Amino acid sequence: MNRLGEISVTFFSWLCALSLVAALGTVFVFLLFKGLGGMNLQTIFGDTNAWDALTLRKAVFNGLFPAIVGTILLVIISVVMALPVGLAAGIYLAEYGTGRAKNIFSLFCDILAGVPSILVGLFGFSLSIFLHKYISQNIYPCLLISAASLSFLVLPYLIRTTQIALEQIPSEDRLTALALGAGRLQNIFYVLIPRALSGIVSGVILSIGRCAEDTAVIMLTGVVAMAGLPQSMLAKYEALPFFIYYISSQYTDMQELQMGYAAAIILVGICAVLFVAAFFIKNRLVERMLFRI
Amino acid sequence: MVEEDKIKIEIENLSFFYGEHRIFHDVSTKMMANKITAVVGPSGQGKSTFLMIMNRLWENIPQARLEGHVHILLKNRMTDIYARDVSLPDLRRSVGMVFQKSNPLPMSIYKNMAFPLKLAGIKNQAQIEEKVEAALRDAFLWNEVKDRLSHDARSLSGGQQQRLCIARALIIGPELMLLDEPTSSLDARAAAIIEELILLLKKRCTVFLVSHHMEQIARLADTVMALEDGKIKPV
Repeated sequence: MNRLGEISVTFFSWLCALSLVAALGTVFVFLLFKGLGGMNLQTIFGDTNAWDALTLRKAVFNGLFPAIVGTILLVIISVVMALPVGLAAGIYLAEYGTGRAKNIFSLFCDILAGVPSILVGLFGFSLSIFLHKYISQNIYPCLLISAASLSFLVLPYLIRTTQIALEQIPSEDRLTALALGAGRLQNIFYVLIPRALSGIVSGVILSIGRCAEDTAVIMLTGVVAMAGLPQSMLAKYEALPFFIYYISSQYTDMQELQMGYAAAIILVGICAVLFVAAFFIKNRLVERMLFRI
Repeated sequence: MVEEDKIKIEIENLSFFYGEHRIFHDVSTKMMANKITAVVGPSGQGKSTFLMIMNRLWENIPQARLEGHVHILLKNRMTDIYARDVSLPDLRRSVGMVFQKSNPLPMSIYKNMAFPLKLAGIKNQAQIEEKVEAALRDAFLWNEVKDRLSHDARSLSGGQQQRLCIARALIIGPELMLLDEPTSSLDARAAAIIEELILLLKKRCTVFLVSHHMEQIARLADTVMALEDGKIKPV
């Protein structure tokens, strides 16, 4: 390639990288600019004393606290439900699956990844109606149904990242423990999974983000504008993305709108905290898994 | 227990394929117990594959296929290692292997050494400590690492890492050791120590060595075989 071509490719690459940073920066600055003014204890806890709210002594009626708790619970329950299935399926695809069975499972995994979230929401909604009719009158769209639906939504991420992380381990490293008399499962759990943990955690982080931001699924499966703290897994709940959605379409004054922006900042903050937690857990896990044996 | 003049490995009509590509064609040979048998030959002829046939490690390579019979003298009994009732972990505990590139696991020196014992289900800490020390002594490594057993094994020098891998393979008491070019990535001094170690190994087990370093073969091997065009020939 001639010199001019090389310079323009380099320039273009830089420009693309820069636009990514600029886009992210713009969104954050915009959010902070619009929402920072609304970030105070009043926004989160309303007229209730913060300590009373945190210790669950008094309910919060006009603050974001129930939505924050709802979102955190939703994310954690969804990821905890999806994780074992996603890990196991990823291990199957990377280590056990061969030939046609593997191809078919991979195809299903890709199709699941392509299903629009509103369809997953509709499925969850139908499921809750089915359960209501045939299992128990007490089952309505609720936290548990939402979490189950969301776990469907993030399953493909977990499966794929687990599979790819395992498949990327070079073949010499796969043979080390086997040559020392490790069984297949011992090799997977003592050597391969610890090696693949970084990749697996990146899948968990993607899933956390997806669960925290998704609105379509929870709208159909149990989130409401006013529920207070969820009383049980089978109760209705509030969540930040839904709050942001309805406040932005139905706000009555500027203060309410600012509260919506504040909710958005908090949502980003929750994601950040959960990401850091995922990394922390990963490091502890590496220690436990690698240094136990 | 010295098994002089006993046959350790007996290979009959062995053919090996990677997909459609045939690596070995109808190979039959024998190897004596408590000797160092070396296989030489140009690279890409499947020398490493030949070693992996003895502990069935090749079965983890996709599209590989084997025909023929391999018997190894294990616990004083000629065992068909491809028989259905052979347990792979047990086989690989009896047939140890050291690779061309040293492969310590990403953990401490001590944990590396204890790893095969833990895999075998040994839990007695005192027993493990004793075996770790003995194996490290056998591999001429104890004096160099005894004060830093908790350090990451990857912080050792190349030669030390390779000796650690030999010690790690020795700790479960293999009857046959497969060595795949164990000194090819080391400098002359580190290689000399390992050669000395290999010579001592044959007192306790049979050694099957792959190398393309002819002088080293001359110094170490009791029997030399050449691998060429899918056939094994005595040299």
